[in-house]
Amino acid sequence: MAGLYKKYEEQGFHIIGLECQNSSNADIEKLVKEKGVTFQITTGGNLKGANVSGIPHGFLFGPDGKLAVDDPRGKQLEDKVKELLKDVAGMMAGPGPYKKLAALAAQVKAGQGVGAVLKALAQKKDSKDAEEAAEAKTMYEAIKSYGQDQLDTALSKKDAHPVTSLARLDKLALQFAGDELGVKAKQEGDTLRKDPKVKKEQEADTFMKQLDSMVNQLKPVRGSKDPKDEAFRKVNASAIQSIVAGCQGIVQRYPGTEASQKAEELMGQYR
Amino acid sequence: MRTQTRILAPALLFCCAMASAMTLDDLSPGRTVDGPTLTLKDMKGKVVFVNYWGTR
Repeated sequence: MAGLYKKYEEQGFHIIGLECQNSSNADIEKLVKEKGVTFQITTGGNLKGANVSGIPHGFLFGPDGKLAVDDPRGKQLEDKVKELLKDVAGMMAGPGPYKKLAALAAQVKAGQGVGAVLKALAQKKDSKDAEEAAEAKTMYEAIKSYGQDQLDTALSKKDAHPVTSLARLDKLALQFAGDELGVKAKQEGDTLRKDPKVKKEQEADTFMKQLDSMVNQLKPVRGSKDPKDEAFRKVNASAIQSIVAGCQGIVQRYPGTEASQKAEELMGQYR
Repeated sequence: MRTQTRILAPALLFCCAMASAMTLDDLSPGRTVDGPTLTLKDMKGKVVFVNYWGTR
């Protein structure tokens, strides 16, 4: 689950783990560290209407907010996530349906040239064709609202997660090029990039990603990749040694960064 | 047995219909213990997996 989240987070995939055994925060945090979980873990949460007779039990929702699959597992879960992620960009244009402006809606769905689409829509809002004008107004407002939400979210991560924030700002700047939202995203991204603290975070993040990739390449033993499993450790001894050394390097060279925190956690699992 | 089936079948259908009609608006995320703190607004337009789990 932790791996699935890391793999698809940037594309618009979220996981919320609702802890439902009234465990203590200390127990939850311990397990989260052991498993390398980075997604949101909550207590006291609830999904109204959920029929859960045993745990774990998951519910996968599509970008339209509707339940897509009840309790998908393993490959079925990943396949469905991949399928649903294709619709994420499409949600930007709102629910539609768009008849007169189907071509523009398709362009938005492809996630390309959204700034240019906004320019075209701004003109079509004054169209003499009432249906076209109405569709243009709806789509324009939906895209603007979506873009603003994305920008707000990216900026809200600026202090705590500057690398994630920067990646999102760059993506928005590209997607909304030619529109004021794109200009704002570019300005904010450029300012962030000049910050020496962020440069350090980016450098450390690059090394951390290499370590994550090494962890993913560790060979399972009897289907297990448990760092505490002796047989697993023996088979992967050399790689584990390199991972721990890499973690130590990040902690020493980039103290105080998000990556150094992650490195410390990773080191704790494999040392 | 037949009577039981007659009673249970609509109940099961109702449960299935309830589950498939669920939306993300039915989610109360609760209190964040670890990881990012996301609101329903942050999840809008995204693919979301809500997972019931426990430590034991």
